[in-house]
Amino acid sequence: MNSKTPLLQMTCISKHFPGVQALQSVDFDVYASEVHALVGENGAGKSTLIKIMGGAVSPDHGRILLNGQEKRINNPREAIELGIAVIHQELMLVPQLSVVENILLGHLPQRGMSRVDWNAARMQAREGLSVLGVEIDLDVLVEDLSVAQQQAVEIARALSRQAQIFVMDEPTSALAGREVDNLLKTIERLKVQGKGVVFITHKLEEVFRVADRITILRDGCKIDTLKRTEAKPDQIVNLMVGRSIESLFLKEEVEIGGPVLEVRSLARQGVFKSISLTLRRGEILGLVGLVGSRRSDLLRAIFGADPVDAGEILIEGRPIGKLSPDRVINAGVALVPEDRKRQGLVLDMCVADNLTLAVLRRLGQFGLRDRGEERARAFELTHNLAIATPSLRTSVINLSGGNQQKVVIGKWLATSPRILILNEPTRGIDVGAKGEIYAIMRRLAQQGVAMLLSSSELVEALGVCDRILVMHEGRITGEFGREEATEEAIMACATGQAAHFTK
Amino acid sequence: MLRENMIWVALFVVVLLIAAASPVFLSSQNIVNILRQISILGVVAIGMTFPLIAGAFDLSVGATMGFATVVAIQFQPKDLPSAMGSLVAALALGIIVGIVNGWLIGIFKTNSVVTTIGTMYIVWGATLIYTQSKHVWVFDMFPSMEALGTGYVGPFPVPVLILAATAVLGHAVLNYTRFGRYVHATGGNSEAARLSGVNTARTRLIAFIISGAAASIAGIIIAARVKNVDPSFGIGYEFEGLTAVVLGGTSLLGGRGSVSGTVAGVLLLGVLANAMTLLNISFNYQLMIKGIILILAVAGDVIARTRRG
Repeated sequence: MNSKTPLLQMTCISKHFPGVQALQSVDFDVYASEVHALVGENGAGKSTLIKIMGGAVSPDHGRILLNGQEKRINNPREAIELGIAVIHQELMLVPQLSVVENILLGHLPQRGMSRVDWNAARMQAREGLSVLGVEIDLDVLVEDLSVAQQQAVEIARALSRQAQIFVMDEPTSALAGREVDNLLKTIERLKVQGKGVVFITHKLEEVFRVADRITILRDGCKIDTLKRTEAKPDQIVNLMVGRSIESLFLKEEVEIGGPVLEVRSLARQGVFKSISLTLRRGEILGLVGLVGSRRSDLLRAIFGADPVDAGEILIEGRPIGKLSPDRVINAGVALVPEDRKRQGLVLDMCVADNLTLAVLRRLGQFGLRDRGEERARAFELTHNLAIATPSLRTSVINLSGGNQQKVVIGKWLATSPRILILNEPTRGIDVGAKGEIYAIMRRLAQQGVAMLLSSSELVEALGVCDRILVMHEGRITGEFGREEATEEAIMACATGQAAHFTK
Repeated sequence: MLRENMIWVALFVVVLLIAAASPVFLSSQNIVNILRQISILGVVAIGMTFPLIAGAFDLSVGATMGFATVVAIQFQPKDLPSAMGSLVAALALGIIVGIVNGWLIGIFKTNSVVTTIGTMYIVWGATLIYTQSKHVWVFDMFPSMEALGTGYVGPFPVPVLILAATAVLGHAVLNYTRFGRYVHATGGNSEAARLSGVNTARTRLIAFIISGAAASIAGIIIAARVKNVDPSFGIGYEFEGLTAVVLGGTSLLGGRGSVSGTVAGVLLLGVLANAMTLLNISFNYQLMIKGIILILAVAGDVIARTRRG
């Protein structure tokens, strides 16, 4: 392999942003018919490196060679023209246009002066999709597709633009089990087609399934590049964070008390039906299920963010009445939402203001702020949660994903909740930060906080929870104690093939 | 932070340049003149800053100001009771328009631009009906009320002092009250704010009330100053106000902005208008220059945004 010229070769790439050295003399390359995984904690420099590949950011130093020729990539359009396709987490599609139009956006084949040659267009689009082994109706609007299908459309679009290098930024983070398999197969197919694939993910399992080589970044430096055949997961985690993977789930025995949250026959038309559950003091209750299981909808309903049609919620034995975030928060409940950027943080506001947003109502008098107290609380939280930020006045938009998530959690810890609802609290954050979040959860359990954790990572639910509920299409289909829970049994309930309840 | 200071730097540079070109410019009489000229726009723009930071436009302020002016005059404030009635009625009017705006946008989640253009037309129409499309005036206005528009405290015209008080109060509300934080949070990310227990609909409602009340106060100042007004007066002021707010660094997308920035924006507009008059630039050219400045300011905002991403 090394005798060939790489499709893309980056040498001594450095990039400095105000306050941080994002990249320091990083070398990276990808060959034809190769999948090269890029791993590292948040803030390690992965995003910056792929932004440089995609032309969104210019490096301060370093050279970029494409097929052995030095090139400058000044903007995203030049990257596309040079055959580099970056598939971002937020997909760049036009939701109101059809699959065909999206795949050929900007270069629809024409007939005569200005008429679109739809026959040719459909043929080209179908060809792209069939290379990927994906079947999608060409006339459906993109907004009606699943995330996995949208991804396929975006990849097909890159193919139709003759891209040689596919840079995929955490493509699996929004996908469920089988969809992940399909995407990994798609990656294999791209490889067979002679394309080079740069694959960024937080999930090592995926890395080991598809990658040929693995490059580990830490603090803006390249730590090592390993061949998959010579690498082990533990070793990669160690290189990423300097810690082993088992230490993530250190379960400590916590005394579980009486019920604090009781949900009785909660229902919402067409979304979920007759949901009943009980959460106890000091308990971590897991909620798992595939995409479409309606876990998030249930959590939002319990929190009062979405309306319900029937059922009631009792907190410490008292019914809440009509649900609204306001009332539920006052009753001692907190929700760490699924999408921290859209639902959890005010990105333009600083760390301190985000941390105190939920507790503000309890600070100060007559509607006036107590800025000294706010600062003291914010300082204490950043210290206790080890939030890495240059200052309390830094906008949260400048923090890494893991630190942003800690700010969201901190915002709620400030209110001293008795019940903490966590919806995918570790999505898209690195192993190190995950470990810290599990540690925070353990600490809270010891203090008697009851937690309801919704997770799409079974390993996480099995590792952290005392009890696990399984949802399938808006119903609870399984309940497992810590000892009896196995991946197989849970999956059977999650797919609706079985039901299981503890006595 | 940086952008907020940029406007003051720009203002300082412009002042230096104009001072070099026209010796009259820095005379105390001219400075007082500029301050008096901007006081009305300043009060309106400070009010508009609140809904804009909360993520909503208030384009009804011009019409509201006009209606308040007309009402304050039409009350024929010739003695203390009628003057009090006039002030209360004008102020209540702005508050009512604010409540209607905030309520419509909070409950029905309608687009604020379109909704407040709608209320602008309604208020404008109501003004014309109220006055039967005729000029309104008052002779022998109650002297204490007249002083709101024409009086002086020491060397300072009363309208300038009202502007200063509005600015100090607005700055304090935005920075030292819980409501001020909620305004920023609502405009920055209303979903996150709502999920944090912030009543975002109420926050926007209060922001609109502030904006309507400020428009009324500006209307009262004008009424006290001119005592004689055309019923279509005020229309177009909303854009003047928006220009000042945007120049002052308040984001059109909400979440970012400050009262001090708005004051600087108003000052910059006032200084430029004054200088262009001193330099004998006709009103027609002044309009074009104002347009160019506004576009540059918005472009600056966009560039600042993309750089950070």
